[in-house]
Order: sequence, then C-alpha cells, then structure tokens
Amino acid sequence: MNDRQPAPSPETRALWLAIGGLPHMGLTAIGELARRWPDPFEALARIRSAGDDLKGIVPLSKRWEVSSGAQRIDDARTAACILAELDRCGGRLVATAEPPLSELLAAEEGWPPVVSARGGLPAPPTVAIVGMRKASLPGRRFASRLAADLAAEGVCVVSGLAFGIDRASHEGAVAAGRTVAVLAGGVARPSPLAHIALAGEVLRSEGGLVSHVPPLSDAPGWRFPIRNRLIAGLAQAVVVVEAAARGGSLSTAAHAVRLGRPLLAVPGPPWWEHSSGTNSLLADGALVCRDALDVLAAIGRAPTGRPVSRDRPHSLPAVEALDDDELAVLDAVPATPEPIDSVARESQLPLVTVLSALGRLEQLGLVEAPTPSTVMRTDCP
Amino acid sequence: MLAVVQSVATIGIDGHPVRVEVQVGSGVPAFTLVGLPDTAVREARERVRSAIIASGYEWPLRRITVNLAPAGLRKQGSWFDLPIALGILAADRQVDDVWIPSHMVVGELGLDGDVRPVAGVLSVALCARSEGLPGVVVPVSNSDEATAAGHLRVVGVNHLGQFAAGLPEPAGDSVCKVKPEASASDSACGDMGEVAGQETAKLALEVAAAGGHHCLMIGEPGSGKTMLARRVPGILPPLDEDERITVSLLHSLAGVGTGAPHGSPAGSSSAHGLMSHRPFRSPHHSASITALVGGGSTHITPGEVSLAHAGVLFMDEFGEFRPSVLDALRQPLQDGEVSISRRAARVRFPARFMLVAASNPCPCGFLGSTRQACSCDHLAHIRYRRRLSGPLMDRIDICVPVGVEEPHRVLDHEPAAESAQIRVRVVAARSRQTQRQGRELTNSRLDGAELRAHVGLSGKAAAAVRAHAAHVSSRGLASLQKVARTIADLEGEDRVEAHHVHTAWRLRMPVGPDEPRGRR
Repeated sequence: MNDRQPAPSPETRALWLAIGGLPHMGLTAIGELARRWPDPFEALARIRSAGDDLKGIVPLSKRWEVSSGAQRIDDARTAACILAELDRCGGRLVATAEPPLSELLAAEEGWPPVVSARGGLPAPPTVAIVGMRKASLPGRRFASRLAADLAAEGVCVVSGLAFGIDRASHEGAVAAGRTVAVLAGGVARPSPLAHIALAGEVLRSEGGLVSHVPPLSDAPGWRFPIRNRLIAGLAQAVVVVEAAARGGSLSTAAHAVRLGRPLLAVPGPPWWEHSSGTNSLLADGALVCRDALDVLAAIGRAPTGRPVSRDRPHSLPAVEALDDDELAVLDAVPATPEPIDSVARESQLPLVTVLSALGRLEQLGLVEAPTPSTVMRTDCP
Repeated sequence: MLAVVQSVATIGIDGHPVRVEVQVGSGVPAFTLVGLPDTAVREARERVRSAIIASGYEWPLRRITVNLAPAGLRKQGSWFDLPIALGILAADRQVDDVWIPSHMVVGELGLDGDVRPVAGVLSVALCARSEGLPGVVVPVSNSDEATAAGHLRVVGVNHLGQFAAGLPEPAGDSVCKVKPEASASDSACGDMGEVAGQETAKLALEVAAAGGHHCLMIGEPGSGKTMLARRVPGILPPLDEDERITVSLLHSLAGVGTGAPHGSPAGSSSAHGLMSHRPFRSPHHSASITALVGGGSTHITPGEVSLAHAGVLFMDEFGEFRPSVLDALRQPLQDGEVSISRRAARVRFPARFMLVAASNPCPCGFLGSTRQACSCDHLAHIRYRRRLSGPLMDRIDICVPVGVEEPHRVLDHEPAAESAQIRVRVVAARSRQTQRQGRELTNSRLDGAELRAHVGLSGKAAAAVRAHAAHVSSRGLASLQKVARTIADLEGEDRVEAHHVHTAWRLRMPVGPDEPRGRR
C-alpha cells in the first residue's frame, strides 16, 4: 500500500484488527480508512467522532453503532491485549501488502492493511472450495476428493471451516497437502466450536488460520458475508460445490465475480435443492467444475506430478461380490434421495429382499440413507 | 350391637381385605370413625348419615363407633360409604344381615342415598375371590367390571333403599362367568390396510410387533405416523387371560373405562367387562413424570406406562418430551414394571408395553422431503438429533421410516383387511420365540447370555454381523442380532441367515449427526 508507514509498531498494526472487529465493518471500509488515515489511532478517533468524513466508508445508518463500538476500544490497552492473545495462541500479524498475501490481494481492491494468522499463509496457487453447510454426502465426498486432488497438485485449498462442504474440503486437503481456513471469528478461537479439532489438523498439516478481527472475537452472523470476501480474495479461483438457491456460498461466488476471480460451479440435477444454487451460477456463466482438471485449467496450471484422470473408473470394488437381487436394487437407487418404497416398486422385488439388499449395499458403502426413509447412491458421478 | 361388613383397600393393583366393624351402643349420640382413614373416608360420616335418612331408614341416636381393621392399613377413597352404612343399619337391626358375612361390599353414597360408581372394582372382585367369598355388592354401573373376575355372585345396587328387603337380586345373569373370548375384530383401532402404501413402515412395524421391539417412527408431518401407530394394537397377538385381567385391573384402578381401547371418561365402565383389546395410550408431550409413570401423594394411581401395559405406548413428538420424563421411562423399559415410593406406600405397577415413538426428521419436519425444502440450519439438525440420542434411544431397536405417499396412491387406495394377516404372522413368530426360549420371552427382552444361546447365527450371518460391528456400539450390535432373529422368526427360519442381518441393519436406528464417516 502506497501509504505504508516506514516502520509501524506492532501495537499500531494490531489496532487494525480491533477496527476489523467493529460491528458491520467491511473489508473495503477498513481498506478505505487505511488509505485516508494510515495511522489507526487517527482512524479510530475519526470513527469515534462519527463525523461526515466517514462518508463512503460507514453508512449513516450504521455510523452510531460503529462509533459506540469504537468508544469501547482503549487504544494502547486493546492493542496490547491483541498482541498478548496472538502470542499466546502462536499467531502473528501479517501485512497484506507484503508477500505472500500481496500476490493474492491486489492493493486497489481495498483490503485491511493487517490480518492475523496462525500457521502457514496462503500462497499461490490457491483455490477456494465452498458450499452448503447442510451438504449431501456425495457433495461432501466430491469436495473432499477435489480438495485432495488439488492439494496433491500443490494448490493451497482455502475454505471457511464451516460444516458441510467447508469441512470436507479441509479434510480432503489436509490429507494431501496444505489448506487455509479463513475465519469469521478470531484465530485464537476457531469457530464453530465443533471444528476445533479440525482447525488443529489444518495447523498440523502446515496449513493456517486467517482472520481480520481480534484473536478472541466471536463469529456473529453478519460477519460471514464479510469473511466470504476474504475467502474469494485469497483464492485465485472459487469452486462452489453445492449451494441452495440462497445462502452464504452464493455470496462468496458474488465476491469472486466482483474481484474478477474465475468462478466454477459443480453441476447437479435440476430437481435437487442442493444443486439449485450451483446450477444457476452455471446458467449465469460460471465455469463447469467436473474435477480437479477443470479447476487447474481455470487458474492456468497444467497438471503435474500425480496424474489427475478425468475418466477415473468408478471405484466399485464390491460390485463383483453382489448377487443379482442386490445389483437390481442398486440399479433402482438413484443419485439423489429416493423413498425406500419407491425404490422397492422400481426394482419389482419383494420388499424384504429390497431391504436386505439395501442393508448390504449400505454396509459396502454403495448406498447411503440421508434420512431414515430415503436412500441414495454414494458413488460420485 | 356389633356388625362386621367385608370390604377392600387397594395398594397398587392388589386388594387387601378390610373389616368394617360397626358398634352401635348406648351413650351420648356420637359418630366416630377410626382405623387410619384418609379425608375421603372421614367425610363418609356426613354422606352416610344423610343417605341413611334419605333412604327412609332411621338414624340411630346412639353412640356409633366405626373401625376399619386392620388399623395399620391406610384406607383411601369413597367406597367405604356403603359398607359403613350397611354396618350401621345391620348393627341397628334395620336390615336383614344374613347375607353380609358372605359378601364384599364397596360403593360411594350420595346424600340422597344413591350408590355411585367407584374406580378399582375389579381388584375388589379379585380380592373377594381370593378370600373365598361367594359374592360382591358393588354399584350397579360397576357390576360388569366385577363380573369379569368370574365365578362370583355380583350384586349391582343403585340405591341404599334397596337393602330394606334383604339383599337385592342380581339383575339378569345371576352367577357370573368369564366373558367368552373377545372378538378378534379390532374395528376400534383400525386396519393397516386403510393406510395407503407405506410398505416399508408396515413391514418394520410387523417386525417390531413380532419381537416386541420398541421402535421410533421418523417421517415428515402428515406422513401418517399417528395413523400407523394407532393400528399397531391390531397386529399384536390377542391378549391372553392373565393379561386381560391385569390390563383391566390397571384401567379400573385408574378409573379409565375398560373395554374401549382409547379410554372412556373416568368412572364410566363399559359393558365389556374385561378389556378385550390391547390398550393404546398416547400421552401428550407436555406430560409430567407422574402422569407418565404414575404416582400421587396418598392415593397412588397407575400412569400412562402402566395403562399401556401389554399394549402400545405411543409417544408422538418424542424429542419434545422433557428430558426428565424420558429418563423416567428407562426403568419401565428395562424391568417391565414401575415402582413408586411415596410417604403413604411403595407400590409396583406392571408396565410391559411396546414403545412406539414418533418424531419429525428435523425441527421444521421436511429434511429429505420431496415436497418441501427443509428450512432449518445445520446446527438445528445437530441439536435436534442430539435430543433424540442417549441411553433411552439405545433401548429402541427399530427405526420405522415413514415416507410420504404420492397423492394418486392415497386417492386410489382401496382399503383392504391386512391387520388380520399380519397378526397371524406375528402370532406364529411369537410362538416360535416362546418355544425356543422356553417361556414367554420376546426376542427384544433377551439378555446377553440368552441372546447368544438363542440367536442361532449361520456362518455367513455371523460374518455379516462382524462386518457391521465396526459401525455400532455393543448395545447396537445386540439389538441388530435381536431384530435379525425376529425377522428370521417371521420367515419361519431356525437359523438367522446373512440376509436377515442385512434387513435388520436397514431397520436399525440412525446414528448421530451425519458427518462423512470415512474419507476416500
């Protein structure tokens, strides 16, 4: 950033995180504050006074809330707290204007001058994999495999540590390479709580956690769309695996389009709610993501090392062990959830035979029951 | 002059004989009642006095002492009115008393001399039988209930004035006999054939009924969970004689009418005598612990679990029941009875029911629905499923998936009689269990050693069980084998084959929140 101070003290830089933690404070707003007032003490003073010089940064309707939040920041002490907490959790302050982040976040896009990080930082090549929290099993499997394939190609997989697709992507990537989780809360307190162990795995595999708010912040709902912009920014391409007609992953997709990052979406059947969002992204011009090759092409890399094969044979090692009835039932189970009764009608076999075959197929991992009354194929298309 | 009238006090479902001793002697006119009476018994003084005068007798202006013996036994309720009144009249020589020593008497009196119905008459009649008394005198509207005990002369009375000319004649059938076999028609609970489609759910319920397994129905709102559950009593085997008496006793004690399976208002007894249908109880999810397991501070009455004894306890919106209430279900599920301890007494009620729980798949109810998208967030799912887990769920063997039928199937559905055929298969499967297990012990109640002794896995089935073992707890493994055993029993097979195990696996309870089970 052209206004960078020659040697700002750590306390000064830590205050940018405190500003990031203010209510409804967006990333571009912080970037704009930093452009106008490179000294965060000055920026905080302006926010507190809630004057007209905040025009174009904080909307009038939010100005009071933001300024009263800023009143609670005791400059020196808050900064010392932030540094102490970062120290305690092994985190650090990272300037966005320096490599490796500067290779991903262009200065003119408006980013906070400083973010906090634990573990490794995202470095090109990076790809974000995002999607629904309530993802389907095949969706999660696909995300996990895609992330593993990309990580094996040396791509750093960026996601948001949430349930569903995010979790599956991190899990796939930690097994094969590096992954970075961008958090809506602080890095000392990864949210959701249920994924603290996953955050640990990410750190152990030389991946990292990144956040633009103080290390002990919680993750209020309004901050997720803001966080999504950081995910899109840190990625050279964004892949949406499963998305409902409305939801957070579509906001990441919108940020990607605005930031000019290639956007890919995984197609799905039009009658399934899990693919309604991705299918409309595709209709609006997103690139089709069938496997890692599509993603690598989007970021302009040729597959190296381990070959990623598009016509990977369906891995159904168990099929030979199935008898005729079980094969007939397997044929009657579609790729999206289907009531057991209609599978039984479709297969035209006695119900007891169908149930027994389904039990066997479930045991072999060929069929899953997303709800008690429905079954679906698990093999990824 | 002393008179003694036989009556009964109940503790739990057991009746204990009580001697109502009345002494009418000289002295200052007074009326004392001793022998550990509760408030309702003590109030009998006012009712008895008024009823005697209103019935045209004379109130003896002498010293009246009533003792309820044994004095250590706590007496409750209003049914000592009639024996006390008869005792006073006999002691004062206003009625003929030759019949009194051979009859047990209960009944509540109104101020006008009317004899009113009371709850628990069946246990009175059974007590009379076990005491070797040839007859009972009961309120006329309870006489059918008393008749059900069998081999008793049941005298139904409706007014105290009837005793002026000695013991009234029993109306109609004088010597009572056990009611002929209850008709197998279960019109009261409906037929499975009235439910369109739902083949999987019906099959799962058939397996549950055959093995006495507790089950949980999961399906979206309006899919027919309640409709199916109501029809479960109709596919269970008919009640045997002992069960009919126990069930009738419990209903009689709770003041719930016998005969009608869904419970008529308290105090009204139907003309059926003994309960002929398996009970179906469906407590609301706001029910308290006391309502469910029974209780009361002085007068201890059976709760829903006991009223569902030998029948079906249907708990709709299972996850909405208070956790403490669900915890209280563990003892009856484990032991087949509840024991209730209060200051007044400690009683046991039988409570061997088949639990049919029902739940939506998620808070909004439309998870996995083909009709409507689920509107809950991911955390809500996890929380909802966590509520449906824990030690209680471990005791539920079968998950009954209830899907939504396509409209044309429902509209074109021709109701057919299915319950009777299912019941035939269930009865056959149960008799196989009784034969193999040596006593009336359903597969669901087999413990570790018995399960090993009776499960009879073939080599391939054992391998299939081992293959599933990685995914379930040890209790889950036991319930997998029990359900497989029941499925084999339904098919009339001596050995459990691999496909029985696979079917049982399909009918198992779902496990916790579904995160990817393994990475590939």
